[in-house]
Amino acid sequence: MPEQQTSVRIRHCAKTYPDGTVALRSTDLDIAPGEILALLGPSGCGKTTLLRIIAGLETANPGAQIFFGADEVGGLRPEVRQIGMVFQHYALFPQMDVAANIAYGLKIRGIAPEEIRKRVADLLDLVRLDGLAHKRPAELSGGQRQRVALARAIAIRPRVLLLDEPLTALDAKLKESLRDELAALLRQLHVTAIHVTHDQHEAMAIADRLAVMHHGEVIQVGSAEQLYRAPADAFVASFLGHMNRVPISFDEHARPGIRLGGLWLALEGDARVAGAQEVLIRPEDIRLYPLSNDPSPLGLGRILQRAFLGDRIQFRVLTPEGIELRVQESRDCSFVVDDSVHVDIQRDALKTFGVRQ
Amino acid sequence: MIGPIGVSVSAGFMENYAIGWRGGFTLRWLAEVWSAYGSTVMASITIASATVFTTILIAVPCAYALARSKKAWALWFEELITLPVAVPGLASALALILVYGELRWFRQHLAFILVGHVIFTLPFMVRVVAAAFRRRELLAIEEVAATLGASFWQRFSGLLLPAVLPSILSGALMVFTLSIGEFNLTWMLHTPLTRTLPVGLADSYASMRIEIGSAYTFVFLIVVLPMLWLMQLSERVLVKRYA
Amino acid sequence: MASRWQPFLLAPALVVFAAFWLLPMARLIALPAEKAWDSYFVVLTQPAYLLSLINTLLLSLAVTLVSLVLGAAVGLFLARHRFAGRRMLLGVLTLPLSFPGVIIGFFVILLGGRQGLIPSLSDTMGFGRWTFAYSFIGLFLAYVYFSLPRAISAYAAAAEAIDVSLEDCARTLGASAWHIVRDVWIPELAPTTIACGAIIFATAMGAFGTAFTLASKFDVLPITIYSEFTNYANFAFAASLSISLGLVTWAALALSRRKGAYAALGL
Repeated sequence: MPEQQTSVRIRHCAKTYPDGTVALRSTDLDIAPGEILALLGPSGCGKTTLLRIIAGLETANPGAQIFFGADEVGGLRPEVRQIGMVFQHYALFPQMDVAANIAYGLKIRGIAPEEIRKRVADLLDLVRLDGLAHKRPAELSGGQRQRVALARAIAIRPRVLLLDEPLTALDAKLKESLRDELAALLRQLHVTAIHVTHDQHEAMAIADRLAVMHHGEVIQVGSAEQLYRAPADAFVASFLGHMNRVPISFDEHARPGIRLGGLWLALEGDARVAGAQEVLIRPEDIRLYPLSNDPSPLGLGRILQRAFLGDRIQFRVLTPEGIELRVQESRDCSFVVDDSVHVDIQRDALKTFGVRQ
Repeated sequence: MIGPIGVSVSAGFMENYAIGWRGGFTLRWLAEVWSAYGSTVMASITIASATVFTTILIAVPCAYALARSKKAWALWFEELITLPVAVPGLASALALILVYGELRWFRQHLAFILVGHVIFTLPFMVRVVAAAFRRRELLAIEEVAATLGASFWQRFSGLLLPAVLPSILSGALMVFTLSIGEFNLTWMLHTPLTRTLPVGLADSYASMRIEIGSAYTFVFLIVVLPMLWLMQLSERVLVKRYA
Repeated sequence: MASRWQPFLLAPALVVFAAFWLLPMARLIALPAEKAWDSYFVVLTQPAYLLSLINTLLLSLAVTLVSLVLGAAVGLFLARHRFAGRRMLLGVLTLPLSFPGVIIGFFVILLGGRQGLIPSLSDTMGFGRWTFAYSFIGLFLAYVYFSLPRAISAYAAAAEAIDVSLEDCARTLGASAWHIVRDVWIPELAPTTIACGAIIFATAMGAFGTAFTLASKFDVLPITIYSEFTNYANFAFAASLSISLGLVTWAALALSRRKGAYAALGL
């Protein structure tokens, strides 16, 4: 909708509260014009703080700089930053109907009533809320309210769209369908957007790039695929998808490796990282095979638990070392609880990370 | 509990309390009350209305500032303004007389009593309205409006005030009722020219016949009871709205 | 966010409060010193005042105890038993909260004064005229009359707020009715009891109108203060006594604040 797309640059942005809590460590971030960036992390990681600082609802420590395109907006009040914001609980004005809610920002700006009416109609069409223009928020469902909040935020043609956990308040099924809608809508709008969430699936479905945050810091930024395949540390690795953790031990030559399923798997090459304590393995990188009488180079395990998840089956497998592995197989896998199986792990599936500074 | 009220009301219409209803029914006590104390009714209503008006003007902005402030002194200030309620009205009244008693025009004006009532009822209004301002939804609505470009006054007058109006009304009713019934402060602050309903009541109990006192009490009840009923109604509406 | 407006928003309240309470109170507190430093302690040093203080304390304590016990019984009963007109009954029972103390004093006179109902009744029954209005009993009854509603409404509200799942859980664990009272009700109602008790106590200590109307021989501190001021123009002592009284009531209420139920009682 906006003709010009705005880039967002954040430099030296940190936030310490008066009581000493460090909510955000010095952060630098670059967002390309029209890009959708997700700030992903567990609660307390600083993602909402960063979003609110970009919005102007909180002030960062001195020295921070925030650029919308070429303009430095760090010193401006939220009213004049030209942003659109969607809140977790929507914050719709309860005494106004849907049309008045959407039109609010336009009315403040003194836009002509005719123009307002036209834009509101267009927006209602865009978010598929036609016919609901005169309903009050109390009469709407959660998904409908979310769309009103979105329409209201984009009505003013913001330079940057900020979304604070927009789907968190919805139940699971609704969340999924709305997630795809939201993703499609944001792409269609071509507006630079920053989306805060703790749900990795949401982030991966909606955003172009993800910034994983932990303890007030951005740990890694990249596309979903980059982060999944090449996580920068153990936290990122286990935040996006599940990771099995196996402790590292040493053989008689003091070389690192893991003992799994009765086998010794030595760590070689890139996998030998100084200071690493454990090896991380994705559930889908472990294959299970039926036991055979032939001698086999594969390890052993016994099935503890089986969960049929519709499109896949998840197993918990116990190795002779006492390690429980989570394994993901296709839905055709026929093993049942207490079966003994062969366990196979590809060498390059072993990931290790050094200790973070 | 209800018995005494009933007795009191009926006594106001008896010819002679000592002999009870056998003496007969009469309205003459009511008439006497009106001629001797009629002005106090108007005075009380005037002061109560003025108190409501003044507390709204002072308390609403104060409540907003307190509700939005994250600093420690905000809580401290809220405690401070509640002190006049914790301390006996006698003391506050004495203090007022000590400092302002010399100003004759002030001392003998209804405004002197108004001041006492405002100080006493302010914390009630502030607390009720501050609680309303503190609600999560209001906070989020304010922030959204800011991101949409609304200035402080646009947010305050267009969104916040309408939202807390029920609480303001509820507080207003409470203040009105408190003011009408206030005695401890008012007795010390009053002059023969500035008598309120409770003050008149005390006077009649001390110096007039029981029948007149009863009739006067009856007058008080018909002024106060509708207020109370309205208050309870509004509390229920508020609870339903925000629960 | 809107912090630049803060000073202006607070100014009216600050100005009015400072001018008409802070300043006068400061003056009041300083007054006894003008006479002599030990004026502040007259409540303890002068026998008449000390007696008045003790009277007031005893009366207030007695009233608090009785009101809490009765109020708990009634309030809990009302909360647990739903019947038609219950809300109206609660409304009527809490009516006296809005009456000025003088009216309640008047009720007592109506019932127990020289021409009162009960003295007439006792006379006709042959016990002589039992005129109790002007004695300790009259004062006590009046004070209970305006304190009971507070206790009833506090306990009714608190009883309704007790988490039912706590009781249900206790029952599944095998608790008897007595256990439930001891382990669920009493701990849950403790804050209300302390807060409500403190408020009743503080109100009774500072009550003036009722005692004024009843003009009894049982001297309470607020009346003493009033007498000093009007009859003897003894401002310094009146001020000192007011400060002493104020400290007691403030301390009682500060204690209740810790317990949190303060807010639920409308303050």
